[in-house]
Amino acid sequence: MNTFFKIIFLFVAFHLVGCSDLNLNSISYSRIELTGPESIAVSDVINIYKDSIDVSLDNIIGFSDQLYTKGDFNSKRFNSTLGNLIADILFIQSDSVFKFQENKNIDFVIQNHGGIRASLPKGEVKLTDAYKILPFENEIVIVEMGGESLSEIVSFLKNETTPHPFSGLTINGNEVLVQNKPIKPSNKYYIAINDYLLTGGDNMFFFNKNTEVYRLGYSLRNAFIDYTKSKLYLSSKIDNRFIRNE
Amino acid sequence: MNRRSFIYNSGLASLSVMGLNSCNLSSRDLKITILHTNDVHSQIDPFPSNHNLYPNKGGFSKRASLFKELITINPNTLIFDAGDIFQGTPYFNFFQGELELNLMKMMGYNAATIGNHEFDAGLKTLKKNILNNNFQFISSNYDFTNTELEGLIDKYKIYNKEGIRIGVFGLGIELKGLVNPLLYGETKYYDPVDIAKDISSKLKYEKGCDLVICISHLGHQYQNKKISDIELAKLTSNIDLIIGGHTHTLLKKPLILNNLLGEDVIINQVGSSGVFVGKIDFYFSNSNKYSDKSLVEV
Repeated sequence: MNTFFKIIFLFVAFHLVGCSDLNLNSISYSRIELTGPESIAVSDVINIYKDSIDVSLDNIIGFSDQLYTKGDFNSKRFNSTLGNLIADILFIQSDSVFKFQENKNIDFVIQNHGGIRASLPKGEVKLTDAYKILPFENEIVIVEMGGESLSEIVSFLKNETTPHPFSGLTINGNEVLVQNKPIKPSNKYYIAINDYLLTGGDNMFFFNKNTEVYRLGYSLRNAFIDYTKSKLYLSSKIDNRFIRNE
Repeated sequence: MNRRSFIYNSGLASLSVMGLNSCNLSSRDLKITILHTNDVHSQIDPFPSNHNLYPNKGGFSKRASLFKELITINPNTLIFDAGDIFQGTPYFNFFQGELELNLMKMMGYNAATIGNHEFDAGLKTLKKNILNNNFQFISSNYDFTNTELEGLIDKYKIYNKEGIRIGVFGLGIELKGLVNPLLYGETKYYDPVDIAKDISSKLKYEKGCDLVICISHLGHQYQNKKISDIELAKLTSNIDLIIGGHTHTLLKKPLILNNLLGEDVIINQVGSSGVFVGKIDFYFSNSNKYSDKSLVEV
């Protein structure tokens, strides 16, 4: 084959490879914020479902003096306004139910950070907000734990990247108090959690070391709704319940 | 002289029997558009007007009209969701996911991967909603043998858009410690990296895919060594795009990382609640332009 045909052959062969499939040449991207027009067909379907919900989700159940979020913690004061509000509500509500059902008091509450799913808006608090903040169908359970197993819980809470809300417990560096008293290893403690955590949810496997479980038959969301309806005005702040050494 | 006449004039027309027949030598360009969402969490309605970050934004109805418009502009569009479709508004508490899948099918989603909250109403309810809506879930590392979902979830799907083959597989997060075992039952979780290596290589080489896309609910990045999209990208090859979810990460623009072989992998994730839609366009061409795979914002 002479040089001329070699060149022609290579040229054609090159095109044979190139033309049988398309090659990726460039890539572009965009991020589109949804502000635009609605689809009538889709809105019609949504309205059918919306109208068949038989409770009035727009009913006002209370008021909030400001916006509360679970994300307003800092690394030293490791607690948030919304986390504290919910943990405190769960304490008050579950303590009174536990007292009624078992004639016992709870010692503290632990609620997983990830179980709180939305912020509490400033102003009117509607029933639908309760569903958004606490959407899961989780119920409050009380676990009885020996004092010797609480250190594992405390060290877990200290090592997490987000603060799991609690109430009735204070952690200030190495000082840990339950109901303002040091933990006694021989004591029994009653901790209000939710049934998701009881199954090892959010890696809190230590709750299976309980010596007894009491199921209140009372959901987190109903506790929030009942409290809000009874108090009407919700307020909260970051405090010193969890101070971490940096 | 264009290329076709050049070849014919060169007396090499007989080469056409070797494959030139099916091959259009004129210049051809094809754009594949990928639209994606993640962690929509049953946000059917737009956010309320008093929402602190996104008042009146998002919602399925606005998204449906956007998809319709973009599909009209480019019919070679694929739409994926990276999981956690469910849980977050009363629509899920009352209808258990039926409305979400119904609307997603209606607005043109091709498939979704399975997020941890897809288990929240139990596998039996999920099965019913998948069947009622003929909804496509793709999961490569969950094994649903002996569960309600057996036979309903594909390990991967291949989409053909005018000859361009797009292979799509899905990855889910470890369920232990995250989902109530009563909800996932006998579902087995397999290591996402091993699975991703196997499937992406199969899609690229055995199945001849031009693009390999992973829809992932692993999460964008963690402080510990837990497997994430970023780790996945570095530890594998043959993946072109990872569409992420779980960590609700709102990226300003997609990340480009090097895979195990030093090739580009794009990672994107668009926050949560369906306020944003991610759009990535892949431009294919048979011209011999220099292949510049840099990512530009449009």
